[in-house]
Amino acid sequence: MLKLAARLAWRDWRGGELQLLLVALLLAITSLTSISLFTTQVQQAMVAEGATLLAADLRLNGSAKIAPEWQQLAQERNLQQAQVHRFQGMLFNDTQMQLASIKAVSDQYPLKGSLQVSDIAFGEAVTAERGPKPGELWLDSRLLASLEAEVGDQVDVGEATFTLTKVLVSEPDQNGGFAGFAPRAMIHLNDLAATNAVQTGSRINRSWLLTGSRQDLQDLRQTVTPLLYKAQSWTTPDEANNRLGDTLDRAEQFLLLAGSLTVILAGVALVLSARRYSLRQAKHVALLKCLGLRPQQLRWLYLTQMLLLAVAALLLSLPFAWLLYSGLLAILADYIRAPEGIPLQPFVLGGVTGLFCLLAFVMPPMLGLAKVAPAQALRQAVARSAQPISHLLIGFVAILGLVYWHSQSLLITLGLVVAIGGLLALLWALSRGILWITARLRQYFGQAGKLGIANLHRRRRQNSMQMMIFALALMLLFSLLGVRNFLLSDWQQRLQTGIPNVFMLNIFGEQREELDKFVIDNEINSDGLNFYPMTRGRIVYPDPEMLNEMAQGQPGPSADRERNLTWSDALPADNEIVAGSWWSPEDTDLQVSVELDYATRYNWQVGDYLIYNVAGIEHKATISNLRTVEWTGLQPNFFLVFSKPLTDIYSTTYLASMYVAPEQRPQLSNLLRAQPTISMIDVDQILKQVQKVVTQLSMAIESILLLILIAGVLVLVASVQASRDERMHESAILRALGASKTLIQKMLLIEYITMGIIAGLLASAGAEILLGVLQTRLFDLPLQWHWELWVMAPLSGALLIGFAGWWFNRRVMQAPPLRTLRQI
Amino acid sequence: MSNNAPFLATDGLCQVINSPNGNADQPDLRILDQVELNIMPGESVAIVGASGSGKTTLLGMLAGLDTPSHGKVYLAGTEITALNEEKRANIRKQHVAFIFQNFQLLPSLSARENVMLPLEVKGEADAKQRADEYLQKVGLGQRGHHYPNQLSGGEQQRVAIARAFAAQAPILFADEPTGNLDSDTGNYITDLLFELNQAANTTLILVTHDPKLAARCERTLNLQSGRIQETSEVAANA
Repeated sequence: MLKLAARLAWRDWRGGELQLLLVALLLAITSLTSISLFTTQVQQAMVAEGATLLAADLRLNGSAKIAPEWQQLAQERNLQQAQVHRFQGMLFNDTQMQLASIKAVSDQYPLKGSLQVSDIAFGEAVTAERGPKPGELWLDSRLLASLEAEVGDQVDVGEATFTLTKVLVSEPDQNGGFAGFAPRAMIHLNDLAATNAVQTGSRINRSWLLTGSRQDLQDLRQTVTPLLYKAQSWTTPDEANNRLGDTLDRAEQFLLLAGSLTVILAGVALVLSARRYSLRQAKHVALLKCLGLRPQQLRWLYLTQMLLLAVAALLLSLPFAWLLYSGLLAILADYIRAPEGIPLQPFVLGGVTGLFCLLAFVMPPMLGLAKVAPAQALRQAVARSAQPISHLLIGFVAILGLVYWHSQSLLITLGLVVAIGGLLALLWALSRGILWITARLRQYFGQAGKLGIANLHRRRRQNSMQMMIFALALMLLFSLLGVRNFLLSDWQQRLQTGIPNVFMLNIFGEQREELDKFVIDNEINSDGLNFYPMTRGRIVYPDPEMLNEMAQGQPGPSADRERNLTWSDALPADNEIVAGSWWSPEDTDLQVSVELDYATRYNWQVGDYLIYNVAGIEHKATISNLRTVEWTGLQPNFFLVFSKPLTDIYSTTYLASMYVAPEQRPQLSNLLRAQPTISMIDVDQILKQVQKVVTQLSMAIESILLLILIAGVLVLVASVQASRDERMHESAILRALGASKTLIQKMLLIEYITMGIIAGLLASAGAEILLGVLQTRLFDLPLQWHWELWVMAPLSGALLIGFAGWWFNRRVMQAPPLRTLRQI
Repeated sequence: MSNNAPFLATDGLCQVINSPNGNADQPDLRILDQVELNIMPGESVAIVGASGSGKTTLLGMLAGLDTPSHGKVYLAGTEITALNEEKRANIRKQHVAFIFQNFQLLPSLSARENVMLPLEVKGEADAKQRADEYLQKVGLGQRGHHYPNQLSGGEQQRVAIARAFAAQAPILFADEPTGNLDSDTGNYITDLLFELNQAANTTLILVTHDPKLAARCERTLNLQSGRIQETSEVAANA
């Protein structure tokens, strides 16, 4: 049976019957596997990125010492360890002294990521594998400037003297947020005792960094957790990755969505190809039955054939998927490191999905073939059976399962299922309606137009089905294109040049003018600085303890801490009011604007009032509005913005931001020397990192989109092919009746173009709905109208489907009609 | 099976198509009505009748391609109407060969592969040699690698005849074997059919409109309104 199946399969392949089926299967497996490989890689890269932000795979943080028994436990599990102790300390040299955040690190630090150092202040960074050796001191550029020191100088930390050997540019576990940007110094952990800077009762933060296998880390964590001191806590890479979290999350959602759409497209292509194949096989089956093949044998025959097809598809597509993925990785080599070894899971996922598609979409019509009556061989025409509803149901359930398996997201699955299910019903009704209207307009067309429209109308059942498939494919493609567009335009904002990369804190009112002048005169930035007034305040009403209880367990800043407060006449750029309204200059009472998530956390509404204590004075302010803030933009943002100054001009400090071009960076040393009291935060490295990731993720998304476009076009081709035999037969009869080649050409073109336009219009409506759901629910972006969809979808529908229809039916126009009739 | 036992027999064979939705005004359509016949091994029988008289339906029932509403069909001593499709297929594989009006060659297979097909289904090892041998016999020895669309109607039917005889089945059913051919080609095909039939001593049942073709058979059964009327019995090889 295997031999016979293989022979028949080979002959079918040679006759071109199996080719489209194989191509559909190849595309399904290739695209799914490569997208899955790529998604896995991006996910791993995200964890790796998180690990570099931790400088480890796992970190224990707290003020207590790391017990030697714990270190022993880690050693037994072959885990690598490092320790970092952070404290505030004074640095001195002959002329200056400066308070700094000092980090004492052990030999192995950092376990993940790398240190960036330089030989001069604000100079070009190079990578250092390890931290300072005993006796060495590294300082950041700001400390260098304020101490007026150079590499090679002697600097004291507490009671010990060090040699300044490097300028510290960035370290992997540099904390995000402004608190992490105090001037930094780094020494070796062994020198800590000699400084005598840490006494009993001093504030110190001790981190224990660990790397190793996930299992060992998990094991250690479970063992050590019950022994932890109060205020000691674990951090994992996922929790640390907040700088790029949002961007990577969205890219991942896009990839998962793309994978799900590929499943649907590949499924539809397979269903169509299988249906055409099984229709054409009906004649074979009737004959084979006459020759004595039993239904059971036929089932085995087709099962074997399909398995052979699957094996061929797997053998061809898995290496191809690997190549495609390697190509994608090569494009993105700077960001995504090639994995150690080949990850197996995506291949299993792609292969199993391919086989599952084959079983769910292809096998039902194939096995149904065994029911073809052998007496059909005695009749001229082969019956064209309608697709049984059970086959469609199996396919639909299979798609549902596969989408969920791929996306692991109930929202994507349900969103797609509801959208597609609802749309199919709408599309069905609409396409019938539009066909009815075009039939009424028939009289205004020429001869070919009349024939084309008549064809459309006569086969309205099949055409409605075909248009639904066209519309579905176009809808999915344009939705994905839409998602790509809004993601990219959202990310583009981060790629603009001139985004502020230097922030300055502790600026006093009278320093502002001088600072601005210095920046402009020294050509650091010709536009000068943007200033934001700032003061610290603590909430007194509502009761902070009660607020903390309310917010227990929810992520976010706690209410009882001192907060940075600001005031402004105008709504900050990138902020959007979602409740209430901004104040006007005439308002006399004190008002406050609260960031939406912060207000939600404590259940504050517009109209409530808050009392803040600032420098001993209580300020009562009414909440006049709630606003959303773009946190990812590295712009200065505040949870609370008041309508009036909370302190007088003499006790207000300011925050300033500006963009400094690379060639102007050395000037910053002079600025710090001229204004030694100012604290400077340099986010250039972080900004560059974000921009790099965003650029490369954009490229990744474009590549995936291309892959899915191919899948979409294949669906269109499969759909055109599916009805080709019938159309060719009719065209051949028309030609035999004397219709000219041009007439048939025009007739077919009009038929296909009309279908393309209608499908495009339907797809626009569908995509608009789907995009609305995705934008607001999945990507948390504002709802938007996509006018370009309504032009692009019908236009590309007409072009693509018109061309495919013409191309696949051109044989009927070139060959003598008798030959066409004989071949069908 | 003794020589006196018929190779093919029917008992009260009926094929009835019920009126749609059980409409009492429209009587059921009786395509075959109490058909009784006995065909001896090696006999050649023509079934004739007007279009729509049920000839092809009867052929389908006799060959076990279709099942009747009532009645029984015995083929090679087995009541095939009592068998399920699986078992009927087995009987076909062992005993039955076909020639169709529309040739029924598979377009994706070459002439040789079409002839090989029943032999491959039977799992015979020398399928290729036998196919070539029978193509030689029908005068298409040089055309084995050609595809159906590269052959004329007459040539296609010769391939179909080669396919039918290559299987070496004891009974051959032919449905209008010359129906799609001009008279010269039809005559050639008829000669070929009877020549091979005589050589293989096959039982032949053929359905035809053509009185000349029917006359070549030993017996002619006339089907009228679903009932058999035997019209002639010719001495073998008259």
